[in-house]
Amino acid sequence: MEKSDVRSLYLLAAFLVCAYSLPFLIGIQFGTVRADEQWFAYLATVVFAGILQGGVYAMFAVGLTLIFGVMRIINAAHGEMVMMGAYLTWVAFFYLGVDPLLALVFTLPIAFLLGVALQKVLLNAVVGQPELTALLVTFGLGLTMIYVAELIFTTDFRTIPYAPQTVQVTRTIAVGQNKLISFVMAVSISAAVYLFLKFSRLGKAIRATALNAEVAMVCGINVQRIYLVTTGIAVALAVAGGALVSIQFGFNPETGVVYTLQAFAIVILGGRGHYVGALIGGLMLAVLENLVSLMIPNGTAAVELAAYGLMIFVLLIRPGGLMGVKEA
Amino acid sequence: MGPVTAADIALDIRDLRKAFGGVRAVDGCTLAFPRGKISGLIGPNGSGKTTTFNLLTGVAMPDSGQIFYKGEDLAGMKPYQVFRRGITRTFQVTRVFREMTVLENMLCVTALNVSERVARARAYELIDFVSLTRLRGEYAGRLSYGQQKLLEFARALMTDPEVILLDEPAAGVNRTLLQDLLAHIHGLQERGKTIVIVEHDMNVIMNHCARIFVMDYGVKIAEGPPAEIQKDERVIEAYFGRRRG
Amino acid sequence: MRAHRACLAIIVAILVLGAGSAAAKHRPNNEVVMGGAISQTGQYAEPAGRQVNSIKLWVDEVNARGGLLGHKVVARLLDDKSDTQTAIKLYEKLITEDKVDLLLAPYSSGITEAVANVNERYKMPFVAYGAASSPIWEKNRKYIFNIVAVAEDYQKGAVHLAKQIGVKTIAIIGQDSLFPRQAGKGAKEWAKKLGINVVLEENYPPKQTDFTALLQKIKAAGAEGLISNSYFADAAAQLRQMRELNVNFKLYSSTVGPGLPNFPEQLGNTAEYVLGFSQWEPLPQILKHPGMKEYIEAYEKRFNEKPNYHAGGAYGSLLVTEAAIKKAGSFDNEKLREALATLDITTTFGRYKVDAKGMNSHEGLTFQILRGQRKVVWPDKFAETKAELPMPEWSKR
Ligand SMILES: Nc1ncnc2c1ncn2[C@@H]1O[C@H](COP(=O)(O)OP(=O)(O)O)[C@@H](O)[C@H]1O
Ligand SMILES: [Mg+2]
Repeated sequence: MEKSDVRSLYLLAAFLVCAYSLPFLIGIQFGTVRADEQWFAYLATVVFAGILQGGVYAMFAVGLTLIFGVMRIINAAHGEMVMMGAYLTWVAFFYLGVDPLLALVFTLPIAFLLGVALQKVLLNAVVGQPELTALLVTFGLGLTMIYVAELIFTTDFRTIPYAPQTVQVTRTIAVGQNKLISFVMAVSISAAVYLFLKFSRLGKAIRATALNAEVAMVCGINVQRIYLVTTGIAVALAVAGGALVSIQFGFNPETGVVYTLQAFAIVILGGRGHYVGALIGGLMLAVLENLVSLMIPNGTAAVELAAYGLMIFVLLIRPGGLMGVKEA
Repeated sequence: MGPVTAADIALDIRDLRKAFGGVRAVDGCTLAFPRGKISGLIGPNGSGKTTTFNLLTGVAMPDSGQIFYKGEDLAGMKPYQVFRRGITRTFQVTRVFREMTVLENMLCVTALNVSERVARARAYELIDFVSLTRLRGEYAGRLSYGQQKLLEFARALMTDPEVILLDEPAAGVNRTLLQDLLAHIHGLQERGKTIVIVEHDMNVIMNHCARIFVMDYGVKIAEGPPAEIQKDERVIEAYFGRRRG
Repeated sequence: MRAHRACLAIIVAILVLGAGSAAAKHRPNNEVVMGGAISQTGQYAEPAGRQVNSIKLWVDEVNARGGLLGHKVVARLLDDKSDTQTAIKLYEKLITEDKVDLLLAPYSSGITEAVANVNERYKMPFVAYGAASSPIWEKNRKYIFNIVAVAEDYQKGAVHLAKQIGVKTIAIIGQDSLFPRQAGKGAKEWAKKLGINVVLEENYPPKQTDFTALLQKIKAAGAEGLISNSYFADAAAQLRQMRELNVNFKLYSSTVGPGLPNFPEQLGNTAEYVLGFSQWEPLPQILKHPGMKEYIEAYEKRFNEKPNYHAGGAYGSLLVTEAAIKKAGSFDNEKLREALATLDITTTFGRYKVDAKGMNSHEGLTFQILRGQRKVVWPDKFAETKAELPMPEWSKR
């Protein structure tokens, strides 16, 4: 490891210690931090909930980083794909009476095929073009998806009352059943994708293409096919994310934007194209948001500020993100 | 020039052309690389050798011309299609996955229809062969330039190809390794493989190639066994008369 | 088709008359054009859509009654896409290019606040059925008239109910935007008047979905009741997460969300016992406003649902406008403004009589979701049933 690299790691560690202790310091100042058992229970609940939330965030980021890694396409429609997944699940639940998680059995293959079609019809045309071109095309796609969803579903908010019970994790930490299920699903799906990329032959070919499409080509990899599979997987991941959103939160055709931004922030934080980075970035972001919200007076209004502040400082210290390696 | 019959030709290139904007990198080049032999492709810098390799392997699209291989025209095929027909190559500027280990680089060659176990066994064998055994788990980006060339060479052999195109394999490789490399190239040739080497090291070319093709300004200007080429006036002029950077 | 005809009429009018003032009597087919930009897409499309329903209903009814001063009314409705800048441009266009005779109000306080500068400049009055934010009327504007209860009073009933059941501490939270902040301000003032201690005030970003930390904070602050100035998504998320985390309050009140028809439907029994605010309810036997029954029947027949308060407010505003034009005897902006400022009338929506600032003192209703139905519980004179408070704990449901 180079010297400057080591230095930036120390700097990063120091910064993170400061960033995470800041809410506590401000909280002590304003008396929102207390030292009694009851308050520690609140704190533990909030940290635990942040971790659960972070796992789901990370899954959004994995889909985004996959497409970006392989094709250098910034998919501005990622959140809309999440939204599409939420609606698919909602339709399955309210009209066909299918359990939201069971619905994945058929929504995921549909999503994969949609991804393949999307790649063929639209994205193949922008691979290798300047990144802005792809950004504009996917942005347009996102808007189209919003309008189509509004036509079909109106702008009414929907939500699925699924698994609303409380799970008492410890005596003091309670959490929603749906949150726990979502976390477990998100982490298993992300892990499955990770293992697929790491060990399967197709997965290796995808990683190879992501690292260097030119080299992949001369290794006998059919890069065009890899593009199809990649977009298929990314859309399937987004749709799975949508299923998890639908059982936790209200959504309407416009909520996708939030998920796009969140995924962006995590990808940038964790390091582009880096999957473990996405997981760590997701957890860090969600936990910090919760700490700020819990302890700083009117801190909930400042969570976005805290999130983007974290992102910017990490980038200043390590331009490649938490896990990013400097380009050789 | 000795006569060459159709059956002895592995790659039959006819009137190949490729221009980059105004630069006619390959400008009506006709070449016939003999089967089962080591051929040398030489010429001053910028004469179109690398571009020729790119056209042969689908990395670049020819503007016109044909490339016959086993009765099929390869012109305009995708890299993976050429690769799967048994033609592999190395690059003048090495192309390895810097962020993957030596072994992973080898296993990225996913086109071979063999089990993971067989693929691994072959990768180990080839890594041993190019003397990178100790560096098997090292990231390719951390290898020396010469070691990367060896890795690339080993990777090009993963599929047991029929035709191997080597773009300046000697550059940056130390003497001992170079001798090993050349010995292995001869070994391949003895097993009936067709090898084409682009090289600036004249010792390598003159001592190891059965036949030499000389390019200048995108066209072939001479062809023949080493002894003939050494005396060819056009070649001497091309090289020494007006050398270009 | 109608929109096309209106368009054509406007184009012809402009061609024939040039840039001169397009008074109603000069239009072909004896028409008057009422124009407005209302969100038909975007975040406000849902409530605004119900207002559009009422507008369409009223236009057909008024034409059946012989129109306005004998002129056939044509509505020209544009879509501002729930976007303030778009709304401003569209109103400029309606006034200067289309030269509409009368204006219809936009939806949402934020957009109305911005559009109020435009119509003020061109001196064209309207009744703002889509805005409940009092600062709009604190800028000496002369051409905008209030009809609905303002944000400050949305939580009035909830705070009174809190007092009734002996709640001593409340937390006031809300989305970080104009309307919820006004509602919060009002709630705080009512709490002060009634001697209830506000232990926490906090705003959250408009797209916030996770309220775990905020709920823990509210608990830590020791609040017994939660006053939430929220819309659908945030109110739904808060309730669901309260249930998931087993966080209990004696009372939970949200400004907008529970009033939307699909709120109880989407949330199931998690929505039970929640308090909400309504400007108006389709309850003729209880509110006893003139013409209510007929309006509700006509609306239901045409749109297959009962009108909600958004629809009711828009309809009432149009009746007020109709009466004002009759009183003014002209479409002249100044005469109409004068009429709107002095009119005293009770419509299907209730009484309309504005003060010097142009503000009406409309009395709102507080309801509770009980067994999937909204039931008015405050003020007492309009109560359909007694409020069931405190809310039972989640574990006992
Ligand atoms: N991708 C490219 N774009 C533009 N010009 C190129 C490209 N590749 C090669 N050339 C030009 O084509 C000519 C032949 O180059 P090359 O085939 O690399 O020669 P050699 O390998 O014989 O040194 C040179 O003038 C070079 O600059
Ligand atoms: Mg070259």
